[in-house]
Amino acid sequence: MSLVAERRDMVVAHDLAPVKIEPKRKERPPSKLGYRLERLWLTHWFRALVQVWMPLFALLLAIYGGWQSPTVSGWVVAQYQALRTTVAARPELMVEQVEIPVGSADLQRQILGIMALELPVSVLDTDLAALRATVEGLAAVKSASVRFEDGVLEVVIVERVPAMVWRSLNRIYLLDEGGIRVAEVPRRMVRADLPLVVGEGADKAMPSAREIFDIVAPLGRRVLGLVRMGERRWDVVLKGNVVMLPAMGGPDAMRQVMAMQAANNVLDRDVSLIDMRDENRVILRLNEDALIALRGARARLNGDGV
Amino acid sequence: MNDLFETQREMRHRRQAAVRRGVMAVLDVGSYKISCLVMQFAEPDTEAGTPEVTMPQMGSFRVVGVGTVRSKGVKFGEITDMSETERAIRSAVTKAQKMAGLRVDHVMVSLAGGRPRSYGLTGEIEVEQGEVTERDIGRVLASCDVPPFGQDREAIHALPVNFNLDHKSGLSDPRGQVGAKLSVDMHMLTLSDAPVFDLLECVQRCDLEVAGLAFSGFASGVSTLMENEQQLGAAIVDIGGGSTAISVFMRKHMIYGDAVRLGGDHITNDICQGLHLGYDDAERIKTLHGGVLATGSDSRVEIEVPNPMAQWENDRRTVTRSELIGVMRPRVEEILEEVRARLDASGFDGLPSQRIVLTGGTSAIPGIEDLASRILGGQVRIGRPLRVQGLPQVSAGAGFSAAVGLALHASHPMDECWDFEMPVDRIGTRRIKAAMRWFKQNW
Repeated sequence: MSLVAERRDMVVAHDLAPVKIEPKRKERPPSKLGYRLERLWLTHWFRALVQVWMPLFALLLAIYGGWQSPTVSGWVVAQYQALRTTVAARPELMVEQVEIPVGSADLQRQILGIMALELPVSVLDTDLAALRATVEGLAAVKSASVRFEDGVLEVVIVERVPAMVWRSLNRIYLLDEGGIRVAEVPRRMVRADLPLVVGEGADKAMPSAREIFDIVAPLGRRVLGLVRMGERRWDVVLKGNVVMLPAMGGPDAMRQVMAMQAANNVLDRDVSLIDMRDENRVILRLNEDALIALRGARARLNGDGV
Repeated sequence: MNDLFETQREMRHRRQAAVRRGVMAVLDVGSYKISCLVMQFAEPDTEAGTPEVTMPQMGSFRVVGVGTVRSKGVKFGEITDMSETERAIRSAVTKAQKMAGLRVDHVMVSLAGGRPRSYGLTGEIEVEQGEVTERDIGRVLASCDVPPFGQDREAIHALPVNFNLDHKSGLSDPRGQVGAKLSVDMHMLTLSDAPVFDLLECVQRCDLEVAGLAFSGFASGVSTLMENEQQLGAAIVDIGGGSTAISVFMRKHMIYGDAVRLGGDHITNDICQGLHLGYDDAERIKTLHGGVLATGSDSRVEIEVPNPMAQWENDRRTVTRSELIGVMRPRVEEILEEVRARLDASGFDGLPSQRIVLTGGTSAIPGIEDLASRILGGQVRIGRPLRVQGLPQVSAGAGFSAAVGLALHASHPMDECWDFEMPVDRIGTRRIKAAMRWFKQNW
């Protein structure tokens, strides 16, 4: 009895659970082929080939093949057209009216005419960039922006501001500061407020013309205009006399003339022409009456005829 | 020596190529398990290249894949069945590759078998131009008189341990120093060539290129010994499954290497025979309940063992733990005594420090530390490999010290003899000899 008890005592609760003999799971080593394939699969270029390039190539091939067949390509085109028509017909995309917030009425009419839109039209069927280019093609428009919002096509333009009147070859144009033609006018007196320039090439010398006009501004209405001579120099035409300016330093010569006017009132005298072309000397031409008077005076002084 | 010289040099080039490419594997072919670690080297200048914790010897690599399989066809650290081993290596490499998601082409291999033998060589030359150049080092290494270690052996390590320049000793790198007479102490470890070539062949059959070869005792020492232990002198005893590798380190160099052809498998076999158990059951109770120091309570601890002859459900069979220890202890003692004999032969007693570090899978037996300090004397500790980045906890145990050491060795290799240029005259004679041989063979 005591022996059994002792024996029981001895058995420590240690790993008493019956040992389960699990069936051996055989771990098969990879076959040589499997091993090589796996290594190939782990190779970067091969993986990229299989995962990226081959599907891409197959896709491209399928697309190309589909495109070659007329039924498929026709179907695709028809689907596309149908979808486009549906979308274009949405009321959100219809142009109901054209708005031109700035610009004279005449210019607005001109813009509307040149845009040639038959309203209402879908904005998908209008090429806004081309419209903008068309509007910018107008002489009077410096720049334009076209945008579509809530059924309104808004054409915002920056007009060219006419700065001078240019008479050239029997036609009269308005020029802006940069010498670009803004419009053609029938008569010069339509824009009597703008100074007049005349002659071929006058439009290309706008900055100097502007400067000269600023210099002669004190003369007021006596200034008739500037004449471009030989596309290189200016003649200032005043009421009663003409000032010929040199090709280089024209404004400076004009300042000199203005100084002479201030000192001696040279322009108010009987001088028909002031030639400033030679910077070393000023040549004055007297007018007819003054010349006769001068000759008479000289004759009287010398006691004989000329 | 020259043939192997070239092979080793080729391996060195492959290793450099692998480090440049950034992926490399190490393969520890043991008798119990084959473990493969896939390492990824960081780009030198990237931020990832600087590890968060810089430890001595730790290169800028990261373990990204681990594969460990039961070894087959390897006994005493030598291959007995090529195809079995090849398959086991394949499955280890496959596992590691799968975990890493990378393909591995270059692999460093370590082995414990092959009856290693250590030789201390010395060579002496006159320095050519006053200042020691790399060429002089190549010459002095070539001038070492190689003992006749036998036709069927190959040197797998040839480490210049110490340089002497005139009367200065203990130089690790004499380049640039001025002197007249340069001598070197070199440690050479040779193995039987058959196991080495078998292993290389097995690895090559797996489509892998061998980028280096190391003795597992050396690798374990690299990973397990602390820096001061390596400096002052320590012995590493890597008790594996089929063989026990011993190496002695001093001044950060391996100065002795040897192996005992006994290991954990023998303990298991003893349990099989002594307790009449199957091999797997013996292995199981060895790892779960094994020990070498019996205590009073052990005779009361009963271990349930499977009983294939059971007649009915509760027909159980138990052994006490003291019986198990009684079977295991003599074998462990035998192994340690054998190690003692080898260490005595190596002159380990003369080293300034007598530290002995046990590692390897069998060092996990409880109580082996005390038994070892009783038999080997002095300070014994169980060594675990240095922690490296990315290594899973499962693979950071003492059984993996050779693999981890191999990884460390791959990232920071020690200078070996073949890293230096051989003098031209030697290469010349070798070429002529090779040409002569070719003529003899073909005409």
